[in-house]
Amino acid sequence: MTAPSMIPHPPLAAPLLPSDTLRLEEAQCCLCHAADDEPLAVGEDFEYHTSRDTYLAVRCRGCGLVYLKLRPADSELSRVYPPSYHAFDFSPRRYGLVYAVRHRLEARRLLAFCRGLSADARILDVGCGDGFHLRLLREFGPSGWTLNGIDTSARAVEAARAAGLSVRLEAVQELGDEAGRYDLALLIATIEHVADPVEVLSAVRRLLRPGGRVVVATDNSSSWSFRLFKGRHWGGYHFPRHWYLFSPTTIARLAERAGLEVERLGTMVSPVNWTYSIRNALTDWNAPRWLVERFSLSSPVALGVFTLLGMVQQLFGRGELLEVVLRRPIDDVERETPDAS
Amino acid sequence: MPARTPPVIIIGAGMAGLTAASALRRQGVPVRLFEAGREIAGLAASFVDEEGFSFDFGAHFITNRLAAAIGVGAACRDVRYYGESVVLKGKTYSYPFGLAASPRFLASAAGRRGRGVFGRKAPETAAEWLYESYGDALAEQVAIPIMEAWSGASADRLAASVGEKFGHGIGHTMLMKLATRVLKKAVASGYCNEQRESVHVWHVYPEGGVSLLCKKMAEGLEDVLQLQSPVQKIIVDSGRVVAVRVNGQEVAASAVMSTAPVHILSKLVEGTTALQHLARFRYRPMVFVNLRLRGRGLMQDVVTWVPEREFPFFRVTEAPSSMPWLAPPGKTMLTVDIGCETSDPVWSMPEEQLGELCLEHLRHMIPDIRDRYLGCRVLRTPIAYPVYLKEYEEERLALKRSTGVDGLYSIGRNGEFSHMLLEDLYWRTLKVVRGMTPSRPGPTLARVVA
Repeated sequence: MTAPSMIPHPPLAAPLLPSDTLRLEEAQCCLCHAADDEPLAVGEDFEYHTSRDTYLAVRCRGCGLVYLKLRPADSELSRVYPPSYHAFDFSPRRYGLVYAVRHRLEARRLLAFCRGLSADARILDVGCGDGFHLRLLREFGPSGWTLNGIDTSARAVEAARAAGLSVRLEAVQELGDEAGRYDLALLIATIEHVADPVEVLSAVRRLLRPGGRVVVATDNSSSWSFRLFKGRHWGGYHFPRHWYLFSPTTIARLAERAGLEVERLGTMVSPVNWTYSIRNALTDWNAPRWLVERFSLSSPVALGVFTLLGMVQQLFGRGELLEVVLRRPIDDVERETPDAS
Repeated sequence: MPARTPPVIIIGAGMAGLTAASALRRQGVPVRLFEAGREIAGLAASFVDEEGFSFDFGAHFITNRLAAAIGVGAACRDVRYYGESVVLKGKTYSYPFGLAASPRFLASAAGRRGRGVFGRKAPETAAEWLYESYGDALAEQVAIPIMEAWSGASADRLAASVGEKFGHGIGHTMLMKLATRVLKKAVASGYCNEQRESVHVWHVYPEGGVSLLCKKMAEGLEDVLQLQSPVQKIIVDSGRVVAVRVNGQEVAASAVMSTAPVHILSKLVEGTTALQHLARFRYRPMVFVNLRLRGRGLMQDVVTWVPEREFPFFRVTEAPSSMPWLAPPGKTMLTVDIGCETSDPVWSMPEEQLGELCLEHLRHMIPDIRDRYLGCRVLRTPIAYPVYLKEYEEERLALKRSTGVDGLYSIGRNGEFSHMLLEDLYWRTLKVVRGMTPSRPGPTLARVVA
């Protein structure tokens, strides 16, 4: 009797996909570790048009988490975040009036998070981009604070360092030498970009002293704009750069998985997702350029109108962004944690 | 120490088999995939000739959602338009609105709907269902002849469930048609039961044909895929699948997923009589004659239904009208669907003769067709459509729930004995796989079946 012959699938004459497509990898729910999901939306990179690929957003049937089913492989990140990416250069030169307004509002918001910190507190901005928030803290906070940033994008780190900030080019999981040394960590528009939110948030927990806090701000997948635009154009999808999108329920679950206590879980006002949802729809439907341009981060009218709308949503607890304060439990002391004092 | 868990064995490397294999593999479940043929893709195979015509086993319907799920969105193009017509007595009516505008059909449909609002009993046969939903004139002249040519059985013998996939209201259809006009994309309506329809889900088609989906899923399965390896037996012991015999050797299996037609599956299974009743399930053979022609837009619509019995075919599709990339510029391809039995002369008719037969009958619709004719390419399959005969309707419904053998799953269009289209097939197969594997953190399939 002959052994079964192994005939491999014949090598394909031509590559399957056009050469300008991205290498995509399949993801699963980071909370359930399962592939039990239902499709929500098919989208494209409406904002930066970095490739011809289409992307599928799904919802986990187990916990309701929304995520990108096939996402760009690590090797593709430099294409997915092009040099023109806004987080690399949110400057007064580029954004004028909008910059001035956001500058003030964000400064107030940030300082509110910092209430109760000592004069020599250590603060880490995880996914700091070009250092916008660190600069605000430097400008408006006490001079005794130690302000550090970390980001995995060389371009972002370069921009932040150029502004005189102390920023490391690394993943937060690699900052083990600083375990237990921070009073506050910021993850502002960061957690939705990472491949494994549980791992990242757990790493952040280890960097905090027991009782230290972390502020997470991210798109809210139970907001009004999501409800209206979730079929394709929702700004929060930010295809293909937002990999996990949380709601109050799923972010609480994330915190639990990362070993953090929820101190406060609320939403906040932001005009960005409304503006981009409409912009994406207009772009997709080939609307005239002048109309599309009415909806951008540099159009004060749209931002103003949607800020007002956001305030209404806020009254109903359905703001566009989640604003979550988490705490490392006081009794969560690891043996290897060096004494920070 | 328990021995290593045997793999899940998948029979058939078509769309369903590849969907199952890649999903299980991603979950870390060992799989082996046996394909009887020399190539993957089965009925989702594509053919491209030297002139640049590409054609499949009839036109398939896939959406941007399916393409994105598999990761081939970048290789697909949007279908901008899709329409159907019906030819009756030499006149072409667009479907459904052109037909509805004809006073004869409108009156019959309205009359039928007016009657029997009270105490109407559910139709049992396809004929009853068609009379019920279309009215006498439409049922007799259009719907019943098409259904009979397509299935090869009289509408009295067919179960009413053949109508399941057409069950969308006129309001919904109109909304989707409107969306197609406005968005200039063929919004999918009535093609997927597993997922929600939406104006954001439209038809797309890969350049080079539908087999791209299978090729993409086969990436990374090279080491578990064996071609030219027909499974000869599925061995069942005490009501549970234990192994398959392939190439004369037994291969232990923790589960078997079969995409084989169910009448063949019933003969493959050894050690149980649970599947004997499937032997009488029938599939309709079909001959697809692809006529290559000069010109474009020769038919009024993408799909033309031809219900009159003097025609040897019941449907003509001009795919390049909505998918121009399937034919070279200035040329087109008509796919003529001929339903038959394998004992009919048409089944074994040579290509040229089939081409001639089609030209002869298409003359009425395209007078200068002979001047345009460049030749034809014929595809034949003995298993184009499952025939929903009333006599085994209950068994068909039972099969939908389970095969009756532990660890044996019958999947895909042929395996489920279902008229489902590609997107449904994909989501349904994933559902079956999920049913095998606990979705919450916990034991994997390997431990469950060990």
